[in-house]
Amino acid sequence: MPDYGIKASQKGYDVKTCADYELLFSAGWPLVKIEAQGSKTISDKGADEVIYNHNLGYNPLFLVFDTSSVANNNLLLTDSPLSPLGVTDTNLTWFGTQGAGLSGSITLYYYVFRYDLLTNFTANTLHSESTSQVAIDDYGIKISKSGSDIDSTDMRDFVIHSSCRSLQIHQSAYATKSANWTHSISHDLGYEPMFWFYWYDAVSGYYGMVDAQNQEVKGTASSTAIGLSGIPAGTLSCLIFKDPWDLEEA
Amino acid sequence: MSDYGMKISLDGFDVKTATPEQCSLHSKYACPKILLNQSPSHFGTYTHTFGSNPANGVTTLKSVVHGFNYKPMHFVLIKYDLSGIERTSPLPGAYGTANQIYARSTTTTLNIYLQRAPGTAEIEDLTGVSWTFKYYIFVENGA
Repeated sequence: MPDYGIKASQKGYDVKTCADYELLFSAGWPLVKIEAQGSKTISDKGADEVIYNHNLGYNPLFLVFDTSSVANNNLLLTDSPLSPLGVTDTNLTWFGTQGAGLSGSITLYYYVFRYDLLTNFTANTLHSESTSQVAIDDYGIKISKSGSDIDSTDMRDFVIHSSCRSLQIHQSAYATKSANWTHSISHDLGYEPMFWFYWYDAVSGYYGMVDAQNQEVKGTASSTAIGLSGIPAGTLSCLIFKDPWDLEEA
Repeated sequence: MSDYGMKISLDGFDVKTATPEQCSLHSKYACPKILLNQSPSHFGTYTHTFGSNPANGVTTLKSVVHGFNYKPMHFVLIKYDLSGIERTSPLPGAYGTANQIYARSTTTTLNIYLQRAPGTAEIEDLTGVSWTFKYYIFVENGA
């Protein structure tokens, strides 16, 4: 990135010297942006049903929660025989016909984000060393959503707010792999980062999120690379965030 | 949305014509946010080491009070070593055949659970096993 642009730090951090993960945003990399969110009831879990028709023309980043399994609770749903769901370039879909003999209904809460899973992107690292939060004064930046009061105390009313961290994408990569594969994505962060990992194979025909119960596709992180491996052939997509695994609030 | 707002394009893109994907920030699209300076914190790590095998059934490994009066969006990852292979992935997860690990949020807390299946023939010995979790509680709704 040339020596111009704009960046803002989280409240209390010196924007000139703070680590990238202490920023609110920078013009050097994208934030995760919400295209759509909402609730959807799948009336028959054994059938295919569109959760959200995004029509973005690409396979977008997404998250889905189960809001019906246990009263008053929600569970992140990843792609599995019990929750066969994922994205194509037009829809976020419950692929019930690919599930493990599913029946009954389920209510979901979903997020679709404006980010193509098939994006190769690498941001610069501006600063990687942690700094200390200084006295928190009443300044910063906040942008309210359209129709919301800029003085609202409900953080859901804001696009971005200096009192909150945001998900900053450092790197994203995708690759098509033959059966019994390994794949390493090098990064320059100098710390073990948080990452999200999605997987497509020709059998399913969609991109699903890989979780820690998937026995065929796996991932791990180090201070220099994300290591991915799998048994089936398909296409992987990985997003690496400017977010150290061991980051704690002071 | 009316024809006003704010957007910041990524390097190499004209801000006047950049798509949302070509922007760092675009005021038409809100970002998932994690509230800072909370007690307990809305993000962090937690390591659980088993001194002995937990009982069969559901055990709460960690509970974090979030202070929202709604069920928030959350994201929890687990890191563990099984048979010499380290793994880092989002929950839900499995450790061998008998242990299911998952996270849920309620209107008051984010909870991380272990469900240990009764009657499993080859139930794993968790004595001395450590799992490290990284958790995020977002401002946005999870339900």
